Amino acid sequence: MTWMLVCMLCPTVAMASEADPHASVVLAELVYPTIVVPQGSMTLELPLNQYLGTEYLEVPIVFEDDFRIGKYEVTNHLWDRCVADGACVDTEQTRPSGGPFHPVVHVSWHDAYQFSLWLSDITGRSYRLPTDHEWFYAATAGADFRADDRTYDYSQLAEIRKTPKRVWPTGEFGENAWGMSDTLGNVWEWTLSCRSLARNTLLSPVDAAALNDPSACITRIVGGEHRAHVPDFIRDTYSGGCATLRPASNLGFRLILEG
Amino acid sequence: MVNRAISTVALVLGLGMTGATAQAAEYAPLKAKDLKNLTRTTQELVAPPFFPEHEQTAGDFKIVEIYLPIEEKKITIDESGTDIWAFTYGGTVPGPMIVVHEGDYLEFTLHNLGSNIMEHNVDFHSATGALGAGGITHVMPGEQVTVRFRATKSGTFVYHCAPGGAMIPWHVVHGMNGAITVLPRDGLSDADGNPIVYDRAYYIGEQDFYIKKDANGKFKSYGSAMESFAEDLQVMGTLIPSHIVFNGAVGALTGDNAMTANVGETVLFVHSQANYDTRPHIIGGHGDFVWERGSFADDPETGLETWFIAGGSAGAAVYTFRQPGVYAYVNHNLIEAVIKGATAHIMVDGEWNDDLMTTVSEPTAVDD
Repeated sequence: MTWMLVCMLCPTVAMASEADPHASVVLAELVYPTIVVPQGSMTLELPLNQYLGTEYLEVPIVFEDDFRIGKYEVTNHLWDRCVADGACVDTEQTRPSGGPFHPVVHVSWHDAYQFSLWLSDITGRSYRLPTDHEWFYAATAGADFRADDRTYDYSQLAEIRKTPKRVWPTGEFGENAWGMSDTLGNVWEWTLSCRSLARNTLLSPVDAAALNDPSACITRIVGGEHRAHVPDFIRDTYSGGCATLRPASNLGFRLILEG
Repeated sequence: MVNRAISTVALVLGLGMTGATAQAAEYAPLKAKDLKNLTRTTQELVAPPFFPEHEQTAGDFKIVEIYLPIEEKKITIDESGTDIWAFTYGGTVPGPMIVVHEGDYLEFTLHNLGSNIMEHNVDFHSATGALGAGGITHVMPGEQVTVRFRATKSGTFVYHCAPGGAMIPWHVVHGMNGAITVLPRDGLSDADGNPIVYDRAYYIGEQDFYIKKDANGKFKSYGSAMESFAEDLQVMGTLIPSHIVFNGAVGALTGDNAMTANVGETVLFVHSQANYDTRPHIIGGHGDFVWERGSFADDPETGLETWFIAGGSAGAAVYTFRQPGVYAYVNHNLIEAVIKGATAHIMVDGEWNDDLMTTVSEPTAVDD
């Protein structure tokens, strides 16, 4: 992983400003690379019966405009800047992997939300967590996606239990056709979306601004190998957020850059 | 047991039971038309320690409907005013007792009230498949779901919330559990098939809580359930409860809140513990008939002093009171009973029986 190369290529670089109140923060260290997600549509199929997954609700997702999402998950490097600035909690003790370009993990939804406020403030740009629609549209590069919980079965139990909590550096899990990295890595990513199992809610329009509010709900969708959900105050999913067979994993996030 | 097996088969002949014995009932699925024609009744659930109104023996198969609202609320759990954000079924810890008969259907509507903040579900140990319905009953605040299952096993069973991962034990030790009694169609009976009819029934739901103390040794109080999560997990990890109580609080079933009975009455006690082992004992009485493991398909044990309820189960005991006065119904780990809170009282009215016990000589000072 060549971090500098990525930064030279990345389309969005926060620009320094003489008037920046956070003079102690070197803006060159605040680069959060994003990719352009082209306009388009997909169908997100959500299981209505989560146990058997026999009936899927087809949720049409349409993006009229391009948008930008983080190429990588937010790293320890960026997180540490936020901590140094007094705006983010220091979860160093619970962070299993300390490399600067490893994704920050063991962060709750609220931790991630606070980071998005800080990064927006310090860069003068508007960052926020993605909705689950944005996340899956970008992660699948616009391909239809069936959120099937039945990725694992009991024959794989021994393997699943061996799934390490170790975190790899950003970029280790490759990137998709649109340049989004690590969507299949072992970090689950917070979204703004509230968990619901009600057909009428799932088919309702998504209002990112309304969801970008700590009081919107407790249980948020996380993106990863499939579409899971975690209470927003959790920093470590233990068995992975389910009694059965979701893999052990880590909680991190990436951000949308608006405007 | 032979008599009961025959009568059970006789009762259900022609209504879908195949090759049945009392121990291993297999119910042929009812056709949609027959299911549609079944009688539906609504069971009004009541706060423990009481049972809902019910018949001890059953007629035709039926569908019993219940409404089970979920309410997150702060409750007080001891005399010092220690509180906890309880996750409740029906607003109480434990959740309400449900009663059906073996072979009947329970159709429950689980409503996660819009005023709540957490995801919840329910796993019925009496149900078959889908993680005890836990897999198909996840509801977010402001959502409800209705599921029907057939109660194919007779006995006493726990139900509890199991929303996933660490949320499972966390919800259970915040009070989110209750019990269901699935009676045999011809009622309870002893090992010879003689009916056991009870005059009243009580449900003792035992609950272990894990609350952290502050630097001054006082139990902490939290502004919200989430605030307590990390510290709750620390205490839970020790496996040492801070409180072990009946009916949601220390003293909830003592003194003015004691259970009552009369001499000569036969009382059914169902005792549940969704998480932690326990061992009920009636001080001054016995278990005349005890289904320690909760299965009414098994012959009851008789004349027990103390019986064991494994964590994650419910058991039943029947006792006919023979003497008046106060009885202490305890978890006979006496540290848990006296120090942690697992004590109840039963106030019994009636005539004293000198034959069973009498004072021969009052306490008298003697030369030692």
